Amino acid sequence: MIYDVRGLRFAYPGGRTVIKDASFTLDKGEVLTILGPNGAGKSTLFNCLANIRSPSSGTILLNGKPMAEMSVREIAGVIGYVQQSHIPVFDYTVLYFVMMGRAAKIGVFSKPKEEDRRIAMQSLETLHIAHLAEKPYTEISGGERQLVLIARALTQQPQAILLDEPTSHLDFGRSTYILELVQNMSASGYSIIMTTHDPNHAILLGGKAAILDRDGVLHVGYTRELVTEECLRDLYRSELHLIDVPQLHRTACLSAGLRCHCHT
Amino acid sequence: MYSKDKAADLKSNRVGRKYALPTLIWVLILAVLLLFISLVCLCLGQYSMTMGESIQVLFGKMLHTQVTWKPMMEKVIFYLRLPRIIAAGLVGASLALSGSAYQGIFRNPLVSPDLLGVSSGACVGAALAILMGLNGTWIQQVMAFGTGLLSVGLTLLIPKMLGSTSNIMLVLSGVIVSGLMSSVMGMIKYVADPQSQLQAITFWQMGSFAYVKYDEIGSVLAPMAVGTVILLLISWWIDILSMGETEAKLLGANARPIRNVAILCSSILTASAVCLCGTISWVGLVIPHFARMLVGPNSTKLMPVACLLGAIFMIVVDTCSRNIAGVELPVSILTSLIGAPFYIMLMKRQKGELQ
Repeated sequence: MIYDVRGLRFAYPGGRTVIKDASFTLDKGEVLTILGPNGAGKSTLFNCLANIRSPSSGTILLNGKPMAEMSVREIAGVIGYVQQSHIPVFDYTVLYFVMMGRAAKIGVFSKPKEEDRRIAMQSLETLHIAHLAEKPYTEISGGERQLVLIARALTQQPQAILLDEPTSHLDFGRSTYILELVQNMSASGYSIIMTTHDPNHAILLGGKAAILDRDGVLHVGYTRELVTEECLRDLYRSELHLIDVPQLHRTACLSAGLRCHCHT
Repeated sequence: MYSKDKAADLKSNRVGRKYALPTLIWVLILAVLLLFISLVCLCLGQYSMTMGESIQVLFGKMLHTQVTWKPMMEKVIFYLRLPRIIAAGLVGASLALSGSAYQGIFRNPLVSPDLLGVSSGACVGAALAILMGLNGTWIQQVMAFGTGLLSVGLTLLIPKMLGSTSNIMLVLSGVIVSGLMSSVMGMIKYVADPQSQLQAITFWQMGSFAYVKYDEIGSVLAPMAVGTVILLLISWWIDILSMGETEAKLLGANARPIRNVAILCSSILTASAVCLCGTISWVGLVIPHFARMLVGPNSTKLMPVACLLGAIFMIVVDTCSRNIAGVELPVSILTSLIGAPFYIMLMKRQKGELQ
């Protein structure tokens, strides 16, 4: 068991409780897609899982060890984090940027060695972006940047990869490509936790889904059983339909149409 | 979409060729240039001599060969010019290195090493020493160094007391401490004797290598060496810190301790520089930019190159300051005069990258 989350609760100091009770487990190679409306605390939950925030109570076990007792180096050895793409201040090359994924394995008075360079290059090749290696990270496209961030997480050689809305800001084709990559990574043994705004992503990926409702309760189950029409309508407060698409042998989530909100 | 990618491709190919020479070659070129410029500057001055003469005196004295030169030459070289050149080189390298480190840590290419109040703090210490009649003594050096580090300590303490440790809080706290120190400075100037002390204080605030002595250089050599070596050793980690604290942590870096060690080393370097020659502005801000243009943004490459460039720049500026006018000009006047237009030029080149 890579992740074992028990009774996680998160409240802002002196503020509202965002997450009341979250418990789930995640095995090697499993995918968990986190769904939830804006402002429900999806990001907060995700940040707790990535060790950016500390939960108010409850425990997160990584390989059976409480995350709160692990060093940042140990955690970085288990979790590779793919954040939403941002542009750093300095124009490091893509390869140099990806090599930063080796930080947890490099001594404090040391620099990346040839071996680290090779591992970073390998991650770029795995994602078919080796040709970007010498380009400045600040000047590649948004889609390429997302791939480079994934390559950096792979360079960490973690057991789990966490992706924070990896498809935001990407066009349709690139979003699908990222989802394919996520599926491939899970097939090669990485556990995946991913947040998304699009229920279709959860349907496409299958595996497990976690839905954080407006009351801060986390519902976890297999996507097939958990992500139902009623559940989605309730979650997004919108008239949604889960429709079987025979040509594709799958269901798709579609909105009913647009209503006019103007009364003139 | 794809045409946009292609445009990005073309652009990055252009940038890919920007760093024409490998870093090692740059280091060698700059090291040779540094030696050459030092020799040239040794010859320049009111008592001018040829390159051959100065080399003869320099090596002749060191190798104890027969004295064939005028005793005046020896005095000028060994007591007036050589200590200035050594001090200027050390100060330039230290300021450029701590500037590079600060720009990485604070993820801001517009930051200079006095951001956290080290220079204004050191000035207060030096001015206090002048007030107590200790101008030019080792006590003044110790006081400048001590108050410099003390103000950085105060800057680090304020966010801690308020329970926040973000970089922005730290920068704001630096503004507060610098402001506090300049008001203390104003107070000292107000009570200083305008006949003698005030001039010494002003001279200190503007920076000058005119009165540098060998034993002063000797006493800052150790802290400068320690700061430089540690910063060069952790240079790769400063790049990790430039990703921001959260990201650095997620990558497995102990961000906070590394940041504090880097700040401490940079402050030691700046404080050492200030207690040798007073405050010198612009060097720590402009030289790292120039180095970045030569070898790119990686701190592992940038820092050694910035050190050499800083040393060369400082030696040239100091030589100008004692040769341009009949009287000795404070160095900061020249560094600002050269630095400001140079900075505008850099900004013009980088305007697309700075948002």
